[in-house]
Amino acid sequence: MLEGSLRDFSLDDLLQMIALGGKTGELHLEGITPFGKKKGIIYFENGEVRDAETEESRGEVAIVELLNIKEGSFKFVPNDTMHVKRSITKSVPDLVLLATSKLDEWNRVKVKVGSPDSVFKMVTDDVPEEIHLSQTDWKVLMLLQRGLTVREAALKLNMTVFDVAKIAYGLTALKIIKEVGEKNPETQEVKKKAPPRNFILRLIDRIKGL
Amino acid sequence: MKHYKIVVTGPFAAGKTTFIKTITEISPISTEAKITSEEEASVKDSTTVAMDFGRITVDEDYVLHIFGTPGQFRFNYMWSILSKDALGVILLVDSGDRDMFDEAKDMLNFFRVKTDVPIIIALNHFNEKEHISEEELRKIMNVPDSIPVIGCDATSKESVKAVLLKLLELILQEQE
Repeated sequence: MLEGSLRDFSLDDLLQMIALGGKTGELHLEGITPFGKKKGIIYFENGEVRDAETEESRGEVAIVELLNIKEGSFKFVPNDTMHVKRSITKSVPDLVLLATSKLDEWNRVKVKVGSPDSVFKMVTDDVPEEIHLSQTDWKVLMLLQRGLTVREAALKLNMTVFDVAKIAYGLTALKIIKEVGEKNPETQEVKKKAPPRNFILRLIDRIKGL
Repeated sequence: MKHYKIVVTGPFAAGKTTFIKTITEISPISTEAKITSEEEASVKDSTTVAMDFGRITVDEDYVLHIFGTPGQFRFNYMWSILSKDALGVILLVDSGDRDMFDEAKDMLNFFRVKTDVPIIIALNHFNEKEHISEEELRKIMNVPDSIPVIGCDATSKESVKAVLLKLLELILQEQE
């Protein structure tokens, strides 16, 4: 068994070692992703990924989230994984690339979609005359307009938060939806999107000084 | 530089253009046209047809834009456009002009439905002539307690500042 901190041993190094060594077993990961805490297992067979799971998802959706753990711990347990149904066929380097590209996408879309806990509302003004949406776009739109967050919609559709955020970004750019706030995952309370408090306080000082 | 906006709205001849002129740091940009309606011309010569625009620079990072809407209901498409992404709305009402209150009530309902931002009502000419009391106005216009009503004089810088500060206070409260 190999166990340690991702601060000492990067996830990339770890994956390379398992892949090149042709190892079979379970890689348990726990740590912080751009979307909060994540915990899960990646199943390897002869150095290839067979499946992955987190508390909420399986397969590629799970592995993309697990490979974006930046701080945390790992434990590799050599074990027979033949009983695990194969759901992933991509190679380790391809999976790393996929996870990296999803993170890049997130960094771009987070300008418009502030957080995975963002909530949206349909915009009734300025709707384009003709809109072409894919079936997945529609499914995401239906859930977001019902008040689900990006994270909740991802869970419901078994998609990655990255992919739902990307669709939400597109729908926002098309002015079909608009971010209106952020939901606290624990209390379910929605905090309205507001201008920076810092700005309001500075504006108050400025007006007082006029 | 990031900019935010506040909208000043209110019925025809409530004093919106004056309100913005009093506080803006730049020469206000107005889209005024000569009034053709006899009834309106008896009140003033020109009216805002698209918007008034004023600005207050906060510092090197932030600037506040102040947009004034046209007063007449026929220009209400501009109300939606101008109030989009606003921080808050100031509904200006002439406190001595009772004919204005029904229209002001409709405007209040319009902005309450179309936006979910804080709204305050500023009663212009509050100290000049016989004016309506806050209680009476709340009753006539069906104003809930959550919407503050404040007296003001749109020609006085201190008074306009007080209205803006009241709105900002409300915005801060809503953030808590």
